[in-house]
Amino acid sequence: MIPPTLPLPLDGGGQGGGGTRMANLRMNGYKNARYLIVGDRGISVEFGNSLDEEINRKVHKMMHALEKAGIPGVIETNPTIRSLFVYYDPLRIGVKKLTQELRKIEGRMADIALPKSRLFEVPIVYGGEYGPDFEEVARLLNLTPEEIIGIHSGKEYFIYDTGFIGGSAHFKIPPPLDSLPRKKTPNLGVPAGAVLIAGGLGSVYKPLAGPTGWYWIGMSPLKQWFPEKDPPLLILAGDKIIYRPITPEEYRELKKKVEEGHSEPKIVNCT
Amino acid sequence: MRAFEVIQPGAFTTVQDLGRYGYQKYGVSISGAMDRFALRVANLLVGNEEGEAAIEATIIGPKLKALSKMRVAFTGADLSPEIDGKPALMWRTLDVPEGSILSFGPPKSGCRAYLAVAGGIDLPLVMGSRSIHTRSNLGGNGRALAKGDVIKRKGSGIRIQESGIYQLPEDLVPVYRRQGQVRVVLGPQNDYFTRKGIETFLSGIYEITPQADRMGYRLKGPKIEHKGEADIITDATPPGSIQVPGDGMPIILLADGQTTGGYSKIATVTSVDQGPLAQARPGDRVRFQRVTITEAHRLLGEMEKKMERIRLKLRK
Repeated sequence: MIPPTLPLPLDGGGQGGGGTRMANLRMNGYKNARYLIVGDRGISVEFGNSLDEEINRKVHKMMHALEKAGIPGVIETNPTIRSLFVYYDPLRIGVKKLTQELRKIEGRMADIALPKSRLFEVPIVYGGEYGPDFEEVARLLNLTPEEIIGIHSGKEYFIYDTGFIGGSAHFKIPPPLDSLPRKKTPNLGVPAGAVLIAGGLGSVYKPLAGPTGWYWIGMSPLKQWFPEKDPPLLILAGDKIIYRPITPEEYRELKKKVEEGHSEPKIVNCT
Repeated sequence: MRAFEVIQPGAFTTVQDLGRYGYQKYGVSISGAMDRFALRVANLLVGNEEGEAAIEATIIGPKLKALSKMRVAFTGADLSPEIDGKPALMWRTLDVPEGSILSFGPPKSGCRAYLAVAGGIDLPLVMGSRSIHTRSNLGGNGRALAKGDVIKRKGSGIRIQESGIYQLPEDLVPVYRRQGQVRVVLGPQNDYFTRKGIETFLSGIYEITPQADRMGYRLKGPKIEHKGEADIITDATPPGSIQVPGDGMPIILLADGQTTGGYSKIATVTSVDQGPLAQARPGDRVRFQRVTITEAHRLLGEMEKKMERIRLKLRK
C-alpha cells in the first residue's frame, strides 16, 4: 500500500533515493521497476538507469500491454530510453489504482511480445557543408575522417526513443564517438535531415529544422516527420537503422525524389 | 464561415484548443491554451463546448476585423480589449456586427488573453487538435497569425440564438498577480538534489526571465544545488516539469514544451497552477510551495467543481 501523503517516488526512494537506485541496480536494469510521481497527471515507470536494449524493451513491452489493457483514465504513454511515462486523468483513475494496474503488467512482462523490428538503410553524406562539425569531431577525437565514417556507418543501431520535437530517433553511439559531450554553443539554424551526435547518443537525422547543441556531422535526404500520417514518423522506437555513405550527387538525386514523394526508404530487413 | 481578417497580428497570436493528445510518444507536444480555465470559460460564454478552438493573444493583442456578425467573449489577461475603439467588457458574452474592429490596448494584468467566437475557430484538425504549435509547424499555417490571414469559424450553431448574455460573476474571475505562489509536487528526480537544494527551491523567490514563451519559462533566483550530476538519461517532460540544468536555475516547461529532456526535474507544477503561471510575464516573481499528490488531486477536483458551477450558471 502507498501511504497517501508519501511524497515520492512511490517506491520510497524520494529523499536521498540515490541509494535505493544503486541497491536496486542489476545488469539489465532494476530488479523491480521504480514508480515515480510526475506531477498530478503522470507516473514514470523506470526500469533502469542506463542505455540498454533490454531495459528499453521492457519499456515498450509495458507500453504495448498498457495500450491493450485499455484502462479507463489512461490518456497516453511516452516510452523513453529507460522509462515509460504514463499520462492519466486523475478525475477518472486514482494514482494507487493505476500503479496497481502497472505493477500487474510488470508481473507478466515475460509473456509480452513486441512488434517486429524493421531495419532501415539511411543514406548519409558526411562532412563539408553537409556536416559542418565533422572536422571538429575528427580533431577532438584525433581520428581521420575515414575512421569516423568507418565507425559511424555500416553498423546496425537499435532505436531507443523518438522524442524532443518532431520525433528525433536516438541510438547508442559506439566508442570513441560516445565521448563527445554536447557543444558549448548550440548550432542555431540546423536543417531537417541533419545527422547529429552528442552525449553518448546519435540522432538518426533531425526531423525538423531548428537549433541543436549536438555535433552536426552529415546529412540524410530522408524525411522522418509526416504530420499527415498516423504514426507521424517513419522510424519508430524498436526499429533499427544502418547508415550507408553516399556522394553529394546521390544525395541531391535522392533528396529530389523524397521531396516529390517518389522514394520509399529502403527497409533492409524485418525481424 | 469567415470570422476575422487579421489587420495587425500582435506580439504572438495563435489558435488554441485543449491540446493534442496521444502523440507525445512521437515527439508531438500537447500544446493547447496556456490558461485552460480562461479558454473553457470563454467558450462557455459564447455557447460552445469548452474545448473549442479560440484565439490566444500574448501581451500585445492583435487587431481583427469581424467578417460576419458574431457572438464573442474575451477572457484571460486584461490586454485592454476594445470593440470599434471602445473598451469591451471581459468575461462576458458580446455580440459584434459585421465590420467591427476588435483590438487590444495596453496590457493591464496577465499575459495571455482569449477571444472565443460562437461555433469555435475553424482550422483543420491535425492529430485531433486545432492548436497551432509553431515549433513543429502544426495546426493552421503552422505559424502565429500574420497580417492578412483570414480566420474561419464553424457554422453559427443553434445554441447561439437560445443562449442569453452572460457575465461571469466577479468572485469567479481570476486575479493575476505579479508575484505569487506556485504549488508543485516534488519529483520525479528530486533525489538528484541535496536537502539544501530542495530547501533553496522551496524558499527562494524566482523571477521569470525574458526567455519565457509557450514552450517554457526560464527562471532566475537562488542556485539550486545538485548532489552530483545534473543530467539524467533523457526521459519524458510533460507540461509543468521543472528542469534544473547544471547552472542551478529552473526551467519550467509549459504547453508547447518538448516531449523529452535530459535535465533532472526537481518538481512538477500542479495542474491547477499551470494556468495562473502561464499568466505571469517576464519580471514577475514566483515562490514554489510543495503539496502532496493527494492535495494536488483535491485541488484539481475543486477546480472541476468550480467549472461545473460556471457551466450551470451559463447554461440555465
